[in-house]
Amino acid sequence: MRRVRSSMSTAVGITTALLLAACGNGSTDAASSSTINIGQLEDQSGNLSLVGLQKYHAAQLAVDHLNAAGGLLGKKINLVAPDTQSDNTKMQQLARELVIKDKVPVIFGAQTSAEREAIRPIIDQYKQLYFYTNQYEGGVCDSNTFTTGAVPEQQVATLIPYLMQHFGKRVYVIAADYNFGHLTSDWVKAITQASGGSIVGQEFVPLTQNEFSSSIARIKAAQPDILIPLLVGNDQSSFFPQWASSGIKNLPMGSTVIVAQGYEHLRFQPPAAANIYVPTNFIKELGDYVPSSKTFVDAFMKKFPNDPYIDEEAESEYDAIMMWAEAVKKAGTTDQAKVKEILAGGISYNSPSGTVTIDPKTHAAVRDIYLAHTTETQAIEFPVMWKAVQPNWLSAVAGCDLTTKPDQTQYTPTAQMPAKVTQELTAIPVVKAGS
Amino acid sequence: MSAVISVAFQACQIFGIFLIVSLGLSIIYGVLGVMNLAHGELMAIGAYMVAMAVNAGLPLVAGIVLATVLVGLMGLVLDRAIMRRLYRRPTDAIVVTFGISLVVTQAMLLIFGSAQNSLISTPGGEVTVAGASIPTYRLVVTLVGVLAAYGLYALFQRTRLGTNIRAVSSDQDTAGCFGVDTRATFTVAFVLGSALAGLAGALVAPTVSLVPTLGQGFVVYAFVIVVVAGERVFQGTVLASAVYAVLNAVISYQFGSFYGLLALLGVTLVLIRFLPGGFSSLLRRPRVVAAL
Amino acid sequence: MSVTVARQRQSTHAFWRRAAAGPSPGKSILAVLLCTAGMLIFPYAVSEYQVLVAISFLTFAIVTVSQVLVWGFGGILSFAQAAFFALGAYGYAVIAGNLDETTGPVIALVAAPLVVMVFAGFLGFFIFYGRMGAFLLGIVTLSVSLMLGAFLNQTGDASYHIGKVQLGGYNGINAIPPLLVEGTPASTQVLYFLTAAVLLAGVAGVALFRFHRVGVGIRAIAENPVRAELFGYNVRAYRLSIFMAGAALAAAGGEFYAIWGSYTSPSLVTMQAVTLPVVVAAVAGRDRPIAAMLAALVYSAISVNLASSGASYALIILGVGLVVVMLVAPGGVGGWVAALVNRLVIRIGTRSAESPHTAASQDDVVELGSTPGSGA
Repeated sequence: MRRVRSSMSTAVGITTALLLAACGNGSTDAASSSTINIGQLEDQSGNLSLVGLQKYHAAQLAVDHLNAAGGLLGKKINLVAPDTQSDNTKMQQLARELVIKDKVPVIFGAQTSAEREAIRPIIDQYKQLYFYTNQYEGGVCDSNTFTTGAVPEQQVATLIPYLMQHFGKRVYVIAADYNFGHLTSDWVKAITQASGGSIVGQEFVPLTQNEFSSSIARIKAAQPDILIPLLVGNDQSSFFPQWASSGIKNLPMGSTVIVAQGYEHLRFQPPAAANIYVPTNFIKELGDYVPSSKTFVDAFMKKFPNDPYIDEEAESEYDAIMMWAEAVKKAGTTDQAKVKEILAGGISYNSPSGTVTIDPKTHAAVRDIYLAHTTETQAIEFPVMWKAVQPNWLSAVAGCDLTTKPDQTQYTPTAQMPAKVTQELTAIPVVKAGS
Repeated sequence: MSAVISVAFQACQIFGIFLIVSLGLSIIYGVLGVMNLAHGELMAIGAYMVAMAVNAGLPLVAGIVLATVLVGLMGLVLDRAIMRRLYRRPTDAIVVTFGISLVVTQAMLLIFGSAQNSLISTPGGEVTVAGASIPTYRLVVTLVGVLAAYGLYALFQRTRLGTNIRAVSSDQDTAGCFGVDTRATFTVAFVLGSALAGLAGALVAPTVSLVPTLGQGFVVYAFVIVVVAGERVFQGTVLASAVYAVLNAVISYQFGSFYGLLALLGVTLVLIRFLPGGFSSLLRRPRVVAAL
Repeated sequence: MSVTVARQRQSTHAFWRRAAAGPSPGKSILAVLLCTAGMLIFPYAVSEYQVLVAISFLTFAIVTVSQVLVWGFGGILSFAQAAFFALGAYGYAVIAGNLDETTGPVIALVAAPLVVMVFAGFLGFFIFYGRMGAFLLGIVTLSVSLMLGAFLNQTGDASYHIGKVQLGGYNGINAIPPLLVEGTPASTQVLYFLTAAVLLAGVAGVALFRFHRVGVGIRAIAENPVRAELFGYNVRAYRLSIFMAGAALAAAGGEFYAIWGSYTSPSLVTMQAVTLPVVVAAVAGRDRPIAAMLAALVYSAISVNLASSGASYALIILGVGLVVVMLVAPGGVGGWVAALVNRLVIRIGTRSAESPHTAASQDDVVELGSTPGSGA
């Protein structure tokens, strides 16, 4: 084939590219005078979509409920939720788009801590109001960020003492290899040691790994009393069927993300996900125990009859949107500075799983925590719960106080600021409603 | 002792799947010269088909056989429709297979959603030797891998088809001069390679979470194995798979899976520098020409 | 007809024949100037947000041009350009993060591509001095890139740090120091023009390189390494050099990406990211730097639009499009378009002078100035 070059084709090409770039990027409707756009950044496809889709649906449900009640400030709410495709770079790109181009008054979302940290600089640069609605490793002390998901003070500080009391002192941790996995492991280690136990093994696994034979061999060699899997994403959930076929039978497991986030108890055959303990703010089965949860579950399943589950993060997302709406009503405007003020004042809300209150010092949520447990047949029961657990390591130990000192940091446990329990935690039995 | 057996079991598990995946890729590369970037997706299709078959009531073995055959047929369709126009254009073929992998992944996402659950459980218990254990299923998978490799060996060495394949991969034009139907051989190679990918996917299906990208982890290793295998499609791949499986198992056991990967990379770099013919060059028997 | 007029018509024919036949420095320069004009006008025609987004397109175009240099001219099917891009980004982040905020970024800007170039040299030593086939090189670079991705993903633990800067593992490196212009971070416009300048310089360099003595040597090696070696070219040294040059260019793209987003992560070396420059270069025409640059810009624009509009059918369309393009236009779209426009140019040009030689001269053009192409 003859190789020729023509400046004409170049000229044509440039014009095309310019036109495309100029006409492009105009996919969302600008907020008109009769609608309010709210932004959501969740993974609707890719490795993290199992959870991302649930959060996306929860947001849609929240918007429906708000619009059915007359909207906000007389306007309808419109959910702008582009798919971040489980990709940190897309997360950033779409965050920029929502903040700079669409100028939404609030953004909800991000699943992994990596995603959150990828967009927090943009959030802070533009002083965007942002809700992080996933359970995570704690520590975010940011004037612009409010978190409704559970934190280690609520999940690790409750779980480890309970497990050690019942099962023994030797703990093995296998965690996803990124900041969430590392920091939550630090918490597990600190609480274990403070409770008189020991970490007999610790392993970090990349998010794309789906082959666990060598990990399983190492776990068995260490002979732990308790296994703490902190595994995230579709690929890593392959651990459970592999564990079921070659692991130790009935070894109790504890986690902050398994079952309550990725509903492994429905996806894998027993005994892959049997005997797992998870302290959580909400899971679908809570509907059998708490009337307000039942209402939420029924409404969700009515709108999304084909959805396999409603996890803790979906409920956090719903709570966040509802709380923001409350704050907007109180402020009388969607102006971000004013709404932030109201939120930071300590707003409270009756969520499907109990009362949720924003702690003014840390912008984190005080909530009730239920201990979920999967039986041999992988049915769910709730042995105990803890009421109104404070997320106050951040304020008591790390010194975060957003009421007096604006901040944009994530604090992590160090030698000077060790991870520790900062409050009395009393487990109370869970009574089934109507029994 | 238990540690040694444990490592041996690890190596065994990895070897079986590496072998099947790499052989498929190796055949396609050796004969067509094409690096099949869609290989991982063919694996995923095999896995999904098994899941569907078992959920429809078929026994696991039947499901695996069915999946293998179906993915092979899919390879035939791909070959007829697309690949046969690219026989002498290996670099264009890379782009095309990338396009195919894109389409297949997205189509699977749309049809099946992002994560199918591993609704088929791994059958069988485990085999324990001196304190180290391996799931029986994994042992079976390795056996299947070895059997498949032996079957391919028999095919390559004992049948006319196999000889044709070896001839075409060695010197396409000369083989053609000798009357070998090169186009048909290409098709057979691609179908065979695809079927092997389907088989590999079908075999891993009970052990992993079913996502459209489940093949990618395996395929990365397969690429490297094909590179260091050298020109002997069969022997080179088997040897390379064995070496890599053992290396990975040993290093992973001692230091963690990350260093296992790093070790493979290091070995690959060293090999291509100092043994450019790959493992095949180790197998070459020196020819002695008698002086007349 | 007088002799003078006939001669004038013949020289007009000759002009159009030359215009249509083969690449030349003049045409390359003209094309680059046209692109420069387009890029200069662009920021004034669109919103600031679109300029901001366009900067990331430019960085991807830089990588794609480096792909053309290494593959189209050097004959090395390198899947490592995206890896060098990522290393450039990480390199800038690490260097700038460890130095003070005013001079650090400038030093990092210069140093990062150099560091990456050295790394490419190290890698290239293993690859090229092992005398592998050019095609097999591709797969090795693919494996190395993917393993780099695996490595970067594993650096989550706090012990993985270079000086003050944590590598961050899957999270990547955040809050990368910006380029300071007189004490304040460079504005969107300044960054745009800076990146565009680097891109245009790169593309001009690569396009004109084909005519330079060294460039001819490289292309000779790409066509037939054994023959070139018999002519006395040090094949391995040439290949290594072009590999290193391509790496430096890709790294330059990477560092501007890091400055633009203040963020870098291992998602820059996923399977998709690594194969993308190869695919775009293949579609545009792997030895056409200007076409590749434009294709990269167009692809980026489409991709960003698809992401925000959330169409899941979009990637299917892209995949199908790729397959169709490669089946229909084997030499790349650039070549196909150029050939088409070429015929148009000749037809218009020669129609203006009605000469009995017209038909004949069109045949002549086919022979004149065409190089024995290596095609696909």
